[in-house]
Amino acid sequence: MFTAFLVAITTITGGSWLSVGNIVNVVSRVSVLGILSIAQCVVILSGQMDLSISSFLALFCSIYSVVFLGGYGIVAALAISSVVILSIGFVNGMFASRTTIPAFVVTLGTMMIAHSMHLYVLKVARYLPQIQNAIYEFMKPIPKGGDLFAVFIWIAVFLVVSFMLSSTRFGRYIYAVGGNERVSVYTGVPVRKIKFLVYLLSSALVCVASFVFLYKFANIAPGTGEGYLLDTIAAPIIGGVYLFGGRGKLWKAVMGALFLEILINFLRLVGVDPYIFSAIKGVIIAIGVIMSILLTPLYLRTRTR
Amino acid sequence: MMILQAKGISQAKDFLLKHNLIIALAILVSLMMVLFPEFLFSKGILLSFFHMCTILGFLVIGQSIVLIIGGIDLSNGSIIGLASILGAWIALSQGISVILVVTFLVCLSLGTLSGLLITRAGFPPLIATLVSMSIAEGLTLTVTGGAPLALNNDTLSWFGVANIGGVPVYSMIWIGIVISFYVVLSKSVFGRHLYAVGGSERTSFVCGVNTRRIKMMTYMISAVLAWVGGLIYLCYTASGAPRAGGFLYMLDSISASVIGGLSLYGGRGNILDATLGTMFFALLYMTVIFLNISPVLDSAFRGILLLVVVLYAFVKEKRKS
Repeated sequence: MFTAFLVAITTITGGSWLSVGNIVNVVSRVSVLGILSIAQCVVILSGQMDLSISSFLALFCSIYSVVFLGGYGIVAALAISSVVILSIGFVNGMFASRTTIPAFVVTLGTMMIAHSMHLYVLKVARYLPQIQNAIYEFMKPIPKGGDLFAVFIWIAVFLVVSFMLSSTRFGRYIYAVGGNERVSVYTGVPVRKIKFLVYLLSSALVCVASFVFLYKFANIAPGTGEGYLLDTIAAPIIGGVYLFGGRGKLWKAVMGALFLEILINFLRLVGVDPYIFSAIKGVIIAIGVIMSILLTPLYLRTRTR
Repeated sequence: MMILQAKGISQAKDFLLKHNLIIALAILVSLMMVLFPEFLFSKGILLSFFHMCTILGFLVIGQSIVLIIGGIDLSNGSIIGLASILGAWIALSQGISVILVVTFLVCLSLGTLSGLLITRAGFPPLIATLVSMSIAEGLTLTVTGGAPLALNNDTLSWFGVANIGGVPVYSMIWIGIVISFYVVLSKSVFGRHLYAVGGSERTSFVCGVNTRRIKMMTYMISAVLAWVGGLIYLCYTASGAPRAGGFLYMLDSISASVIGGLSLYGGRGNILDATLGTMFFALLYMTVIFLNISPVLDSAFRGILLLVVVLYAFVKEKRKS
C-alpha cells in the first residue's frame, strides 16, 4: 500500500525512464536482492532475523569460483558451495532454536565467520574469475535472454515460497511462531523445529540467489555482497512486513526490494553521492519501521513480551 | 572422608567457575610472558596494546550500560570512525576547541537519535542503533570519500603518545572513568535505576522510575564514550580513518561485555568484570597477532569467539537454574 504509493511517485518524477528495456534491466538487477529479501522475509515472519544472508552469498560465490576453476565442473562446484552454506545455515538454526541467544547475535557471528571465510577463499584463489561462460553453457537448453532468466527464477522462487507460506502447514506454523511464540508452544506448534528450519530455508534460498548472481554478474570480489547487508533488512521493512513477526505478506518484501532498487537507481541518476547511500538507507529503514509501528492497530502494539 | 574430599573438589570447582575470568586472564598473561617475552619489554608493543585496550574499553563501558538496561548498541563502532575522520577534517582548518565541540555534538546527536527512536518511536534497540550505525557510516564516508586523513593538530598528536612510564595518559583516563562508572552504577540512584530498568522495565516504570529518561541517557552516554574512543584513535594514529573497522570494534565490544558477565537480556553484570573482559579480549587479540595468523581470518576469529562466548554464557545460565 504505502510502497505502491512511493513507487508511483518515483515513476512520475522519473518520467522518461519508463522504457521497457530500462524496466527489464532494473528488475533483473533486483532479482538477486529480491530472492535474498524473500529469504529474510521468511525469517522475519518467524519472529527472528538473519544478518548473515549477505555474506553467505559472497561465500557461496567464492567457493563456487574456486572449485569450478580448480577443474571440478559446474555441478560439483554448485554442490560443494551449497553444502557449505547449508551447513552454516544449520549452525544458525541450531543456535537460534536450541538456545535463548538472541538471533541477531548468532547471525552476527556467522556473518563474520562467513565473511572471513569468503576473503580467505579468495585469497587462496588469488584471482577474480570470469565464470559467465560456464553457467551459460550449463543453461544452454534454456532460451537465451540472460536478464529474463534471472527474473524468471526470481518469480519462480516467489511463487513457490509464497505458496508455501499461505497454503501449507509449515507456512502457517511460521506465522504462528512469529505471531505469538508462547501460544504456539501451548497449542502444539513445533516451535523449535520451525525456528531451525527457517534458517535452513533461508540459507537454501541464498544458494539460489547466489546462483542467479553468478549467472548475471559472473564475477566475485572481496567486496561483493556487502551492499546487500542493509538491503535485505530494509526491503521487507519498507514493504511493510511487520518487524516482530507473524504478520505480512511475501509480496510486500518484493515490493520493498523493488522500491529500494528504483530509489537508489534514481538517486544515482540524479547525481547523489553514493557514499551517502548508507545513511539514506538507514533513514528509510527508520521511516519504514515508524510507519509499520504506526499502522499497527493499537491492541497489537501494546502487547507485553 | 570421601564426603569431605568430594566437598573440597566441588568447592574448588565453584571457586574456579566464579572467578573464571580472572583465572583465564592470568593464564593468558603467563602464556604470553612465556611464549613472547618481547611483549612485556617492547615499548611500542605495549603502547599499541594499551591503545587497543583503551579504545575497546570505552566502547565496552558504553555497551555494558546499554546491555544492562536490556538493549544493544550497534552504532558505537561506526561512531569511532566518524569521530576520527570528522576530527581530522575539521583539524585542517580549525583549532582544538572547535574539533572537540563539533565532533562531540555530532556523536551526541547520533546517540540522541538512537534514544529517541527507542523511547519515543518504540523501535527495538537493534533496529534503532542499526539506523544510527548506517547514518554514521554514511556520514563517515562522505567526509573524505573513504580515504584517511592526516591529523593537523599538534596538541592532539602529542596527547596520542603522551605516556608515563610506558602507560599512555589516555589509558589512565580510561581506568579513572571505569572506576567512576563502577561507583556510579553500584552506589548511586541512577545506577540502581539502570539495573531496575534492565531487570524489568514495566515494573520499574510502575514503581516510578523514569524509564524513558534512563534509556535516553544510556544511549547518549554510549555514543559519547564512543566519541572519546574515536578521538583517542585519532590522537594515537594521528590520522582519521573511516575504515577503522568500526564493525569489528562493535562486535568486540559485545563479545568483551559478554565475557565480562553482562547478560544480553539485561539486568545483570558490572563494569569491573566487563573491563576484565576487555583486557582478556585485547590480550587474546595480541596473541593472535603474535601467532601470525592471516589478517583475513580476523573476522572469522572474532565471529567464532563471539559465538563461543555467548554459548558459554548461555550454558552457564542454564547450569545455574
